[in-house]
Amino acid sequence: MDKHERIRRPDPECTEPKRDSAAYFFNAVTGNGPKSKQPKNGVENPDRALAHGVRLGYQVVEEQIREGQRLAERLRQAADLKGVTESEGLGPLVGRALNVYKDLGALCIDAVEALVRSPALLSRVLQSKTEIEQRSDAGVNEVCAVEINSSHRTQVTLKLARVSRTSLPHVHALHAPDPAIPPLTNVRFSMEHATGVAMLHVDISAMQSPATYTGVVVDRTTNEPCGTVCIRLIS
Amino acid sequence: MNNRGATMPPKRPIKVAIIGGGCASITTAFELTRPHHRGKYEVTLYQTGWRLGGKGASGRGAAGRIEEHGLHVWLGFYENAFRLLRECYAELGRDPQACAIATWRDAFFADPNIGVADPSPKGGWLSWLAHFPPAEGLPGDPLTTHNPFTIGGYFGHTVALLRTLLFGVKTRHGSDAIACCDQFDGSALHIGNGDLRSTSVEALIAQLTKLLRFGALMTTTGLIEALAILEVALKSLSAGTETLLTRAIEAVASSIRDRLEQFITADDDIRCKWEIIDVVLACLVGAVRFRLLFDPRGLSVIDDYEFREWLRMNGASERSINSAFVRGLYDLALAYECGVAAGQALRGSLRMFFTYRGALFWRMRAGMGDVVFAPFYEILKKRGVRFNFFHRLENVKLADPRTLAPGERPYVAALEFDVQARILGGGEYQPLIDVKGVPCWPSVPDYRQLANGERLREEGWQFESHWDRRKADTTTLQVIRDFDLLVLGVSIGAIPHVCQEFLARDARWRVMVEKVKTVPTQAFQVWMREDMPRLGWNDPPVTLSAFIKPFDTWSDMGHLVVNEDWKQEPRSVAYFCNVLSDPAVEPDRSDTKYPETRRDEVRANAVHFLNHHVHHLWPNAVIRPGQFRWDLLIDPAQLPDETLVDPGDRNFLSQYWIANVNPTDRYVLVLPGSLRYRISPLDNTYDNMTIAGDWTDCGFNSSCVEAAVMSGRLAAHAIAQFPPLEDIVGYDHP
Repeated sequence: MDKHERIRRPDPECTEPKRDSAAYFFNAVTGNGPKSKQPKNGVENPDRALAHGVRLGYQVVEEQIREGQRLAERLRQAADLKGVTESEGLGPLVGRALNVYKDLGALCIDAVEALVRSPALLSRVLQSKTEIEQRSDAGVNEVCAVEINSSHRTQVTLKLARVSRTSLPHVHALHAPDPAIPPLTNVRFSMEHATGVAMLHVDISAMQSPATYTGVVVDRTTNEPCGTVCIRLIS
Repeated sequence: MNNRGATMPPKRPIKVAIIGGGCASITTAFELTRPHHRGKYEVTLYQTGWRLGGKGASGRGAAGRIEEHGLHVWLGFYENAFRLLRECYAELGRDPQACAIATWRDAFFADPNIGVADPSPKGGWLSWLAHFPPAEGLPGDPLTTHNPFTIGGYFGHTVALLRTLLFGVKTRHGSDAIACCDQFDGSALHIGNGDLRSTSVEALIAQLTKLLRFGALMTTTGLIEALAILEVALKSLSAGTETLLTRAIEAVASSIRDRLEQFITADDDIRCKWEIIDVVLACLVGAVRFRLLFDPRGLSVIDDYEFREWLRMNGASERSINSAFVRGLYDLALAYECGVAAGQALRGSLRMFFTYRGALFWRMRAGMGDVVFAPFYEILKKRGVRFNFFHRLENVKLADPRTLAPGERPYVAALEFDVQARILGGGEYQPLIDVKGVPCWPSVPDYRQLANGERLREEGWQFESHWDRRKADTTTLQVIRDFDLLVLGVSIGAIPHVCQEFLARDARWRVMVEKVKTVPTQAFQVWMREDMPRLGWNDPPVTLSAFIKPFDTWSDMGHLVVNEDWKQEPRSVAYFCNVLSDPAVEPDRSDTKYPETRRDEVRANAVHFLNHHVHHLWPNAVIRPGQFRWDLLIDPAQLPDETLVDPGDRNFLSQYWIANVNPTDRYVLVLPGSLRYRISPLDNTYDNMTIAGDWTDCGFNSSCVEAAVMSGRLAAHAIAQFPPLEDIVGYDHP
């Protein structure tokens, strides 16, 4: 067989979804929501929307209280419960009171809906989220280099939240699915001070069995998990 | 033209072999043969037996009746599936005058109703029926209009969901079937004068109590929704508020629960609504506690938890966790007994309720084979795809590792098939039949097209049975000579049987097969001579789940009759389905009687179910509980106006039932802790092969049409770099 004629698939750009909610949702904040719900000028003051909802709510609450007072008055007027059941006016009264609850709930929902559809609020969320991320990024480095010393064909997948410049994470032993296979223990982080880049060193013995090894990366100071390393040794 | 696809010699098409004819395989074939590629890929599809469809295959039996593998309902969020189907119908260009199913709108209709059944503490069964309002747009529309994937869209749908729950849920008591339903929804929020004039003191007090309970539910719901807004608003202001926020929400949630639990749960109508709100509340607390909105892994971060366990951790009551609403969602995913990964369950619920377009459910006007696979078959044939039916894959052979050049990846060297039957004249099998002008798949093969067909029919060859290994011949496809690239579109249940070399060499494949589990399913269909109101079901046609096992899901399918071909037209049609337990010991492949044994078991289950349980739904379908009216069933061999003397449950033999026990027919489970072991169609370990199916890591790891289509599109991307990943709707959904 002439191997040069064999067709190969191209290498994929990625093999798993990028589930970052910021990219997925927030970038679409001002995008394509139902147009009928959007304010005409595209800008809405969230305080005003909230105040409007609260004002509507208060109106219904006041009406509810008034209805309750009328109901209580009618009940007081009834000399006994037998008389109450015979009262022709009580039924509609109870019905109106129930409708007040219905209106209250509907208004509450309408107010919330007006609020959540407010582009101004959503834009504010997006803006603030970006600010939070920028603040939390201070003092950390998202770039990480990998140095592999192996005679096997080796594939390394590192999933790491972030690497702090002041405290490097620690990698626990990486285990294969088969417990009889010795774990990988020579996997560690160091900081390349010249470049300010964290380096993951992977040293694989030539005797190591081909398999998929996985291990947890923990914060060295708190021992809390902050990522995983997966190393595939391919025969 | 896109030139970033598979590396290739310049002057010949790339030969792609696709194994299997389910949703994923058909999708890959459709993508690779788009005009966009200008004939770059020459596709041949290999299929066991006589029909396409995999778990979605259907056939036409006697009287042209539709015989399915189970119940298939498409959800309004199946964006990829609808998009491709709409493109297929548009390209097919059927004549509406000649074919009753000419467009995708002919093929599907919107169904806004969902129902779940719940045993009442007062005895009997309740049915909750909810009508979900239409959402803007249609599934498969471009996302440039009515994009549901925005924070605003999700919030808007949250509000709509709450509105539906509060005003649009109707509770129906089984015993009230003939009489008016007991309503306490938006359309019935009134207590008329006549009610009170004629009632007792106790009734008045009950009405007042109900009023107060409803008021409490209303205002509490508003509070819960306000909490959701509070969460987002506070998060936007400061990163340091999270712990405080979590505590605040948990405290408020706990307080709400304490106040409401005893007060409102005595009322069936309000209890059902409260249980759903309680689940929503637990999701809200969990979203904050587990940082779901901001974790780069999205909802997958909680995939190691079982969904109910996760709800319990976040404060949901035991009653809500086991409520009809939660059981109904599990039943729709065939997952109640086995559990489901929390992240995917939450993702599925969000997609189902918050991103549907048009309607929550879309139902088919004929069999899934007829409205989905026949049009795809026709269009793929037009595009030049070759179909080799009656080809049963036996082995995927890897290249000898010793022959690999340095740095060369493993690859598939050969595909070994059993040829189940030869086609007379050596041509291609023509699989479709005509039923009332609609191209359909038959329930049995057309033996007239097969060499020695009459003998095969008399000997009862079961071409779709894993246990019937009879064959007419064998054939082996060699890489380069017969194919360049392989799309392995069989289900994971078949992997241990056809990919033994993979399992021997590759630990990842071994672990995947071990962790990604499947379960058999069972289903039956009945055609009846009385309509649903006469049987005692007075509500609109509905798909109802969380009912009594072993058939917890029922769908009223009476709309299909017009597209069947009966002499005596049935007045109602009902489909039931559920999982089927596995035997303690896996049957040996030489046990050819095994499928029939399981089928007998399903028949017995169905007969028992009709005798003892169906009266909760259709009180008039029984003479008395325990005795179904078997004369209701219509035998397709009956003449018009012929009425059978009630022959007892033997009449059930004229109906349709199935035990889906073949490895490729088994339903793929979404077990907690298992999703990370799935392999993506994008994985390039074997550089001339990709995989496709709802069992792969496709971004929406659930066993459904949408997952299969997403996987098929990913497989096409793996080969051709097209469609772009960002065009696969929902792939990157958190």
